[in-house]
Amino acid sequence: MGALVGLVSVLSVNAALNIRFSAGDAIEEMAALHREFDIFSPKHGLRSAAALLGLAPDNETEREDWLDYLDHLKTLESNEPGQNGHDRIRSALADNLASGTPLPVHFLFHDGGEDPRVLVTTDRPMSFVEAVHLIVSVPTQAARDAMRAAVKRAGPWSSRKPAATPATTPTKAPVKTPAKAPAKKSATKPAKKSARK
Amino acid sequence: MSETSLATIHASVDAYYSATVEAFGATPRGVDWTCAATQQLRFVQLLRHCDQSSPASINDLGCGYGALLAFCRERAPGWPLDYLGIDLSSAMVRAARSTWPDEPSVRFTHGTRAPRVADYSIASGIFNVCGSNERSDWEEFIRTTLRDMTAASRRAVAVNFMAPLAAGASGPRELYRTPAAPWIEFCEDELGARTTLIGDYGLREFTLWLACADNDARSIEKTAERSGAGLRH
Repeated sequence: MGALVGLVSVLSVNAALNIRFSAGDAIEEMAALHREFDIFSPKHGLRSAAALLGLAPDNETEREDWLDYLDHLKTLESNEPGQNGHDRIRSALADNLASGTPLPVHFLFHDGGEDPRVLVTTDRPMSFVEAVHLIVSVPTQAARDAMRAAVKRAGPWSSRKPAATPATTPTKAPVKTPAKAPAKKSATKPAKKSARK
Repeated sequence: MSETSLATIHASVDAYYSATVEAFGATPRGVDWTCAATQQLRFVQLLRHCDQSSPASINDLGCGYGALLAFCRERAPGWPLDYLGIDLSSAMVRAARSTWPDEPSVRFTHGTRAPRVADYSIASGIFNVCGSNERSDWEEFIRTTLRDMTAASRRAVAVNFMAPLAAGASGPRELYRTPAAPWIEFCEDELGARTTLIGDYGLREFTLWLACADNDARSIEKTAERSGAGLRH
């Protein structure tokens, strides 16, 4: 996540997820909501589920970043062959909540550099927790690492080509630093993408 | 209950919900629900026994920003509604009016009780946050509110309550939790309403559906009693 969603937002949303899907009343409530509104059915995405369940940051920009990140999970693989990360999470939650005896769910993150897939398993989330949980782990990368990787991929400044000047504006005042402005843009863009992987 | 005690409770409720809507705006959190889904699951129960096949009028007490109306429009788009939202938070009423600015059959008013008789009176979550009020005072506030709602309803009243937590669990003192039995007894014995308990819908709470005795007949009867005339059935 890192460059895509701020750390504080990530932590607060993660805490909210683990509370709302925890054992007891919470997971029963979630199962009831899924029964009534079909929240995790294939016709809805995780984006709309998160919005309906209020599982997103309050800040509007961070909220959009978070919802974009949920969409981005479609581009990741999962530990279920042939199923992308987004669909793996959605279907695992749907199956669990519809099971009649839903397991509590624990959400966590793992290092995307070690395993770039979304992982859904069942286990005890912590040594001191006895109940078996459905465990959903998404790959993430720290913003600094993502930026470094992006810069490395972009290569040295001297090798970066400026973007072509638009043909429709040749007569306008010349851009003072044509090489620098586009280069900044190209360095930023891949950084964000790489952070998602 | 003294007018002063009731006014104190109304003031505390006003302060609480004016603060939530100030903080979170016209959203489920602005009316102190976790999210739209839990808010709407409650609406499903409250409207469960409403006859949606014919036009109806609704008094929505503690209406917030009018989320019940939005839900009705989405779930039952062909149901002609004459909707009156009542809220004792003027900040909430302002938020509601700005959400529903130009609807002829939709009105919002600031107050503690409905100024008209409607087919249904509905209240979601208004008995939950008792704050620092004494439990006995809060329960008197509930009784007063239920009396008012029943008097303003031709067909039925629907309200919800938070149920007690599981044995051994503890929750905030500011939330009012109660078993259903005492309130069913109150509604049947004192309000004369046939009461249906709706529970087991995934939330630790219950909904009461109070089918009102014919209020039109009752008001005629009362008028007749006051004027000294007999009423033939």
